[in-house]
Amino acid sequence: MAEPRSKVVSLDEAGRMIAQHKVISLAGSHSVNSPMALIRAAIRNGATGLTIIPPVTTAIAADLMIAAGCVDTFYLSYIGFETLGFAPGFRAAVESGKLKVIEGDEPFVLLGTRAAAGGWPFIPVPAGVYDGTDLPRLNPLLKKIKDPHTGADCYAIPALHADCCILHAQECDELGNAQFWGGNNQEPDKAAAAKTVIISTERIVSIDHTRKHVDRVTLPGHKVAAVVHAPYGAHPTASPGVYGADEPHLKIYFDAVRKGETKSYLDRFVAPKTQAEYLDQVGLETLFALQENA
Amino acid sequence: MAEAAKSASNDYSIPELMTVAMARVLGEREDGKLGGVGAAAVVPMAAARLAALTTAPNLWWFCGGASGLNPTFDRLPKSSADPRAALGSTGKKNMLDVVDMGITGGWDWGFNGGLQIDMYGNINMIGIGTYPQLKVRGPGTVGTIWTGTLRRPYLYTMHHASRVLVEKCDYISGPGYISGGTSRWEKVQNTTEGPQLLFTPMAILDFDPASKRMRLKSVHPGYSADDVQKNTGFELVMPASVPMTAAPTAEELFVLRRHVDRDGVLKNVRATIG
Repeated sequence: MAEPRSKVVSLDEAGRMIAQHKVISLAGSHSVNSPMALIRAAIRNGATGLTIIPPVTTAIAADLMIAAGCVDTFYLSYIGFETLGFAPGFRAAVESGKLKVIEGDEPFVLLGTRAAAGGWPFIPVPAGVYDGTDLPRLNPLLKKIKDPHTGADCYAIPALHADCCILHAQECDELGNAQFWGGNNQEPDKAAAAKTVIISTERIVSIDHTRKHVDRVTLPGHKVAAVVHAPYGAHPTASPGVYGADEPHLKIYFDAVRKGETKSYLDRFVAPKTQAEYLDQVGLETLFALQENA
Repeated sequence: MAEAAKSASNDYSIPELMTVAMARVLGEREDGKLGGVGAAAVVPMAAARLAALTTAPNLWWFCGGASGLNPTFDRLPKSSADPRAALGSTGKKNMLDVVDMGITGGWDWGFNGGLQIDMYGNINMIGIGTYPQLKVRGPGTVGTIWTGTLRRPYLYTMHHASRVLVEKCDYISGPGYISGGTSRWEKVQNTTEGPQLLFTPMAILDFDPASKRMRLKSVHPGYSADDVQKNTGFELVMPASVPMTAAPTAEELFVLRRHVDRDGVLKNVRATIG
């Protein structure tokens, strides 16, 4: 009898794998379910010159990578900290001319990802979606074409392929069969649109557990290259059903970057080499309290 | 810049007043219809929940981010993406459904805000200044693109100031009436009606039926039409007399605080003037 090969690797190994790629795709929404432990590991492992394809809304996940100087190009739909304010790393990088932005929106990022996932060269949308806006003028990747069947004007949203997609799952087995709780289901297309997929998870579950709860498996693991056990791996963002977003921590990040003190944040929270050392910095009391807001 | 919430009546905060005003409109115009709220939308989110409990019992509403339909939370989350915003939902929509419906015109109503909102109800989430190295980089277009395709967009801002309410947006991420008159329908799908109302911490505004220029509709208690004009970056269409926005009733506040926002989030949402 033969056993399947486990895909479980250390956080540091996953960070090295991510840092070897150029086009990185993320999932999660706003301050929920962002693969933060993987992002910190990639920064520690010298990720640089990255192109980021975020989910349709993102906050600290992309902003931390931008503030840490890892990102050259950013596919934008929305990045912001909602009630706290504009994303400080993103804003500073654009206003100082250091970051190239592809000016997109919900359909651009989502349908571009869908196109890449399904092998379609592009997805056309009716011209009326964009003609009243400045997006076609600002985003040369939105190209006007004719519908070959009706002659009507359309805009072609190009396929957005990624080298590596990084995701945080609530449960995942050692073969990469993953459950994402909550959210709006961007993960399957994100994974399909990437050459390789790396997953961190709150809990590594048995393959028997996966079989028992197969209706809850969002992403089958065939494309997953590595699985990392990272409890609180979405912190300071929320992990649905496990813990809420750490708003005071998000504020610490937000204030540090806005005041130009990014390095002090990176030294304290990104430099720790293991997830356990990171969680020591956050503190057990905080981590326990966050479970009340799951 | 004044903190509007601090200058409101002792009985209610400005965000509470705005929530109640939005809920009344949802009751008058959207009961039985499907709509949604998006990011950074705590006030419209509270309004939709309040409307479903009071003025619009047949409302269908989508809480973007967390993606629940008709959630029944009683502790208003600060973000529509907070998983608790989907508590007690009767269904979920994934992001692809949301985009499909945006393109096909499946949404009857929705709330959108902007870094700038102009005299024709166009909104800008892109930025201010010369592209690409903008003076103020905005958060991005996200779902504001759907003001061009959803049937009746409602606009809101928590900051009533000349720098927000501008004559012309630096960039348009969500089309309103473009350059007024019938210009909107030369660009966008003609099944849509265009922006209906704008809710601000000072007033409710609508649009002149012919010119499509923004018009003052009612002024919140404590402010005058002149105050509104002074804090607006263009000349408003001014009716001969401008009524006062009706203050929230005791019953509206009771339901809001007891069944929608038990933690008093709306007492601390930032609303500014000037």
